[in-house]
Amino acid sequence: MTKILIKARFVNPFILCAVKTMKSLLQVDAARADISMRPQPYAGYEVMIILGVAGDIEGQVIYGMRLGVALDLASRMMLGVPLDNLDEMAKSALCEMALITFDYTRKELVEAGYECQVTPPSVITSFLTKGLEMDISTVRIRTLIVPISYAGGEIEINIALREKKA
Amino acid sequence: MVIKKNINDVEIGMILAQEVTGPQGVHLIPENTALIEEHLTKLKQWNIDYVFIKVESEDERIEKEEIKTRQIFQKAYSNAVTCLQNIKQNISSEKAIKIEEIEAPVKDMMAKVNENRDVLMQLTRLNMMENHLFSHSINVCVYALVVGKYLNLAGEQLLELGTTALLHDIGMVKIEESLWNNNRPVSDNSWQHIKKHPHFGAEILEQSGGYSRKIIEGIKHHHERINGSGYPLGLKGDEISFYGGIVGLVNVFESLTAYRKYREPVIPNEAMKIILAKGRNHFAPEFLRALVAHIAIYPIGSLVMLNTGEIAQVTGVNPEHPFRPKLKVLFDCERNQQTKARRLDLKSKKHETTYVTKTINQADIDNLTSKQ
Repeated sequence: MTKILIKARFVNPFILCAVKTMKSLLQVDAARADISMRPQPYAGYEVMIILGVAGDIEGQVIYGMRLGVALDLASRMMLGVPLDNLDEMAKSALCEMALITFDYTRKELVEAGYECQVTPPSVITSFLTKGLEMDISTVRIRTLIVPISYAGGEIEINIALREKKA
Repeated sequence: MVIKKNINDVEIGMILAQEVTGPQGVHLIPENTALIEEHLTKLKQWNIDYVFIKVESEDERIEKEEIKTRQIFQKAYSNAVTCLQNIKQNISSEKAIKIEEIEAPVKDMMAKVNENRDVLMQLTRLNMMENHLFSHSINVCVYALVVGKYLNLAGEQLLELGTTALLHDIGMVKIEESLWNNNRPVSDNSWQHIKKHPHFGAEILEQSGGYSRKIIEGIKHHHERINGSGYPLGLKGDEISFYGGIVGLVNVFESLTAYRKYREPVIPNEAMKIILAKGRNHFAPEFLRALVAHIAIYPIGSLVMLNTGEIAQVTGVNPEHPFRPKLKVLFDCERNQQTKARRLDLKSKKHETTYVTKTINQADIDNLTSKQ
């Protein structure tokens, strides 16, 4: 029981900030759907934005989505420029979005008593293989999956974080 | 920057920031001397313990170089203004506009875009003159060349695009200046007349002779919009010529972000939002993309706030990474003005987790810094 409660303390900022950032950065309303658990992050997304976290909590946060959603988010980031493929510029926009979202979250985490840093985000795509050939095997942390839905579709936040042992 | 150096650390090639004097103020080595081996030996013989040496930081070097390039480019810019002035006079006296005459400044701008696009774009922000027709035309030409290059145009095509851009508003010369260059928004009546300028422009070039069909069409079409809402012909989609489409887009962007007698300029980032709000229906997606990639998310000259709390000015664009501009820090996180501008390139590894939180204007800076 205690274990789950502690986890909520650092997981909640991620959920709250994802919805908040969508609103402030992209001017879209977003809502959280039911949370589920997996033994490790799900790898079957067409597009993944991966952020590494180090500090009082460590692990990875992965934003997973379909290609169409990634294009929609990138386009919104770029003030509405129409996009039809996930090129360098679109990927750059997604990284920027992840970075900003994490930075909002980090502020809340600090208030909850967790100091942490983020690695530069990276985008991994597997839409050419429909996400079937991908496997994330390095991260073996129990993962909380938080689906966030908005007008453009659904994003799943995979939170694979644990407290660093002192 | 000046540092005091122990004589044992002084190396050949260092530059003296202060003259070296001996007993009774004897002048030994003058200021600004680049030291050679002989000097080092002598300094030791004279029993001098330390000297003052000039050092230039990387940022200072960049700053210096940029100022130099800007001065050279400003000459090219001024030449283009002179060229346009002459053309305006020629039109008034019903003389033809020779294509060679107009191609010269366009070629010059093309060379400058290749040499240092960032500095050329800084100039577009610095040249907002009283007679906005000239600065507007040159700025539109610069933006069109940047966008055109991104769309893989080169040589003759890029030259044609640049010529179209530089001359796009030439028809305005046929319209009484008091109708459009005054301190109030244009009246409905004047507007109907002003709307004929693309047509007048094309006419002038047709009469002058030597201009390609593409250039003339480009000028005729620079106010047409792909959904048919433009003027004077109300053309749609592919009916609008390629050059006309590009020039049309950068023309709107320049107009919004430039000073006008009757209104404040719109922050470039806001201008892009305004364009894109309608843009999907007005301009071809590949043109919009090119504009955003190179010019518009954090355009050169804009003032931005960083997540570190610093305030910076955009000095360069990293193509394809519109969110990662090159910056010059104006105020540190405690809002102290920086005398020696520190440069950051958000695309470099060192700054990968730094980002721009918002675009601000001069008034915001005044507010933020006066509270201290």
